[in-house]
Amino acid sequence: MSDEPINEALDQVRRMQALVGDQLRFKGFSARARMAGGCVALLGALGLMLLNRPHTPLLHLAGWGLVLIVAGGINYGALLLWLLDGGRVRRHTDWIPALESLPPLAVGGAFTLAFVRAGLFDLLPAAWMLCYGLAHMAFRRNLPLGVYIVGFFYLAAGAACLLLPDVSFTDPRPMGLVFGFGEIAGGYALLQRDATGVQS
Amino acid sequence: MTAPTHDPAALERLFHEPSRLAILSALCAARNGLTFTELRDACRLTDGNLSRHLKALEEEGVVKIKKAFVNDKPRTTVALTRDGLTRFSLYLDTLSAVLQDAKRAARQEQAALRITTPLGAHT
Repeated sequence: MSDEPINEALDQVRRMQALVGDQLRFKGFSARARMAGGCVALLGALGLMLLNRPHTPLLHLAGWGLVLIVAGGINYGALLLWLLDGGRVRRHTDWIPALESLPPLAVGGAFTLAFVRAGLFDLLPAAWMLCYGLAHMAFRRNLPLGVYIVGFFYLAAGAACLLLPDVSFTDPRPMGLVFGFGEIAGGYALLQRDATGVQS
Repeated sequence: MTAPTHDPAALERLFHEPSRLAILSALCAARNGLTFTELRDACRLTDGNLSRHLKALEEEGVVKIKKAFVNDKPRTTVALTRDGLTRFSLYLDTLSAVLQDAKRAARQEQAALRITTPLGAHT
């Protein structure tokens, strides 16, 4: 028995799997917006380093808060534009994956409040990296593998910040480097997705 | 010969039918669904046949059928549901595994034939 017909059938199944995979993939996150967010994090860290003021935890909290507002605004603004799709509101099944990242991010917000109230500022970078890394895990079926790997990078960086001694919240380098390069790498993974999307 | 590792009986019967595979493939390739006419033409089915398959798929929640009037004419649009896509994806995974098993079995059969057939038989 020749395996030629089986190979043909396997090729057809693979083509269908590619189509289904493309349909299941979430396309609401913008690659460029994400890379811009990474640049904002790097610039934020640089700004905090160059700031000619006493480096208090509250000053750094305000600085990172500003970075979050700017980078979040760019990314969620791009998501909103995608959702509106030129006036044609998308099917609810298209945007549901966007909500899957919210629980870990909400946990990150709760940790922030608790740590700030307890004065445990040095735990904030680790908590943010770990929760942001977990948010990536929620997308494992809907986003490219590269984004999933970036999620592991955030988890590893968060664990290192949590376990290594002398990680200070008033040193902006760990936050800037991890979120800066993490977001640029995540954006690059999305850019690859856009370049290799299945054409129907 | 090794036993197959994937049971063909595990293939979802709802999808395991040529016309339904054609319907689902056409819908997968269309991002925002297809009209009844487009789907009928793409799958080369009769109106009655397509209606029957769509009814079965809708009852199982695999497709969503929307009826509306466009320019005073009725238009039926068919789209895959997210649950339907996920189930079809699992079906394709199983089908792929079964085909891989079949390919392995075919190769083993060929190898066994080469060993048992006398050299002279090939001439």
